[in-house]
Amino acid sequence: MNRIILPTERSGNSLQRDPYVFTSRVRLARNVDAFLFPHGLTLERKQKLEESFSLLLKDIYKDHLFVGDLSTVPEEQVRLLEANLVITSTFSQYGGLFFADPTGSWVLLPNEKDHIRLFSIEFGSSLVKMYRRLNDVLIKLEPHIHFAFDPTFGYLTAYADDAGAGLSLCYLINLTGIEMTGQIDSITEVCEETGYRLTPYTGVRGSQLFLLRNLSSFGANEATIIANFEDFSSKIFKEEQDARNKLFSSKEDLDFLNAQLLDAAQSKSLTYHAMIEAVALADMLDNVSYTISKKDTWREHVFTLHPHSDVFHKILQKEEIEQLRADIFRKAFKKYIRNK
Amino acid sequence: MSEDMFIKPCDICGAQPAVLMFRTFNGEKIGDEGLCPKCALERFTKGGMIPGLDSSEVLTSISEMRNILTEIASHLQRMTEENSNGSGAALSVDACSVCGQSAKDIQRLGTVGCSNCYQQFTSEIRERLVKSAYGSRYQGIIPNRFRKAHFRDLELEQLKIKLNALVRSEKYEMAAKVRNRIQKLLRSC
Repeated sequence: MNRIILPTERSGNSLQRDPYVFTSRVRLARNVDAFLFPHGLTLERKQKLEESFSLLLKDIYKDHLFVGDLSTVPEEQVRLLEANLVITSTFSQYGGLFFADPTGSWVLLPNEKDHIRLFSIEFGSSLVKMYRRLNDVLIKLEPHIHFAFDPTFGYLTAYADDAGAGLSLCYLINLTGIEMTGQIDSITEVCEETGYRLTPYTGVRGSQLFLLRNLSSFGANEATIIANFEDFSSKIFKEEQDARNKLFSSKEDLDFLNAQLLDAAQSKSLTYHAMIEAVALADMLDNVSYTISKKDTWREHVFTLHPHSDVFHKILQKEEIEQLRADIFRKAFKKYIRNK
Repeated sequence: MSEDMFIKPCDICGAQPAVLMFRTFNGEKIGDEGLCPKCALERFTKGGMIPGLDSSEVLTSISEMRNILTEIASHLQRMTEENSNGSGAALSVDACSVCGQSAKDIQRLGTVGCSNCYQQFTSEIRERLVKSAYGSRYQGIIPNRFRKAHFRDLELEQLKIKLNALVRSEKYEMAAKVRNRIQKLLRSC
């Protein structure tokens, strides 16, 4: 075993948010008092930090610990971790050790760019459960490590805006309705004004999947930060549902959406962006025009058909990747999607 | 004219330069007093109340002033010690004395090099942080090693509010008890 699979399966159901949230990520940032922050560490000190974590985690978790070395992980897996915001490009260049629960329910990167990153990614939106799981890891570590802390600022990180609880929450959400009804710019603006950031998952405009995250974890406790995030995202989902209802109420619009999806499903070649659009579209039309039998497996295509995923390992030609992607997508469409 | 001519020696020890100046009023007498950080710290942490004053409100104000002055004196004492043992030589208002991170980078990019940056550039970081934050003070989980001090600070805060309310409602007996508790907590700092 030389890798972990992310996102992991969901640990709970949240029916209210289920139509919109593909995956959730919870991250806790820490630094160690006795070390400079990661970007200022020499290679020797980075290794020393890894070694300290290695000894400690092995002592705590015994055999129930996955120890990975990024320099031995396949390149495409590294790029995929980057694409999923699991690691930064700085960390992948350094290629250090990382530690994880063997099921992938938490991962710890000691030498991430700005801090020691402890995070969890899974399907669905069980933020509280995920946070508790990560906090349990910290509770086991804290008696042995003095994390950098200041009563005024909270937990300290290399990026001042991240100081505080060090808690970052992120949803990968389907906003096809908002995007298609042309409201995405105003929603993005509202997010910025309210202390959240909404960015297209593929990094370009016209994407239907978005990453929603909080910008600060200072000035409120962890429970409040999570509650506020869930409350704020619920307001966005309300807007999304209104936009969807508007689209569904027009036969012309609905016919167009169905035709668009069928076109993607019959396509001989699919770019990643076009595939994301089709996955998001089908997901939105679930229970309207179609029923999806295994929703998480369907949504998983966002990760498994990424240009850097394992499936395309050793395929260098873009055209070949797009053909193979279309082929897999077509089969998945037949397997999981039925006319309602 | 030498710069030393402007430096007044401490009125208690006479050896160190005075950095805190006070004007005291005792009846019709007005006196000026200058103390070095070390003597000031001793005066404010160990000194008793001024005789002749028994109004609880005045005592509370003096107690609060004493806390503020104690903090200033402690800070000055720390700075003096750092300068005298040589570490002060590297101390600059523009760069962190531990990692060398510049204040400009912290303001411009928000990047911080080490824990010490947060102590050295408190105001710059606070200004930046509070802009996007939920509130103006840290509210999250407190590590075990900070918990005792944290809960003591919280209790002090509550007691000070209580004391003010008691004094306002002229419940001096209870106020004295609360004041004693505050003093006990302050002594344990």
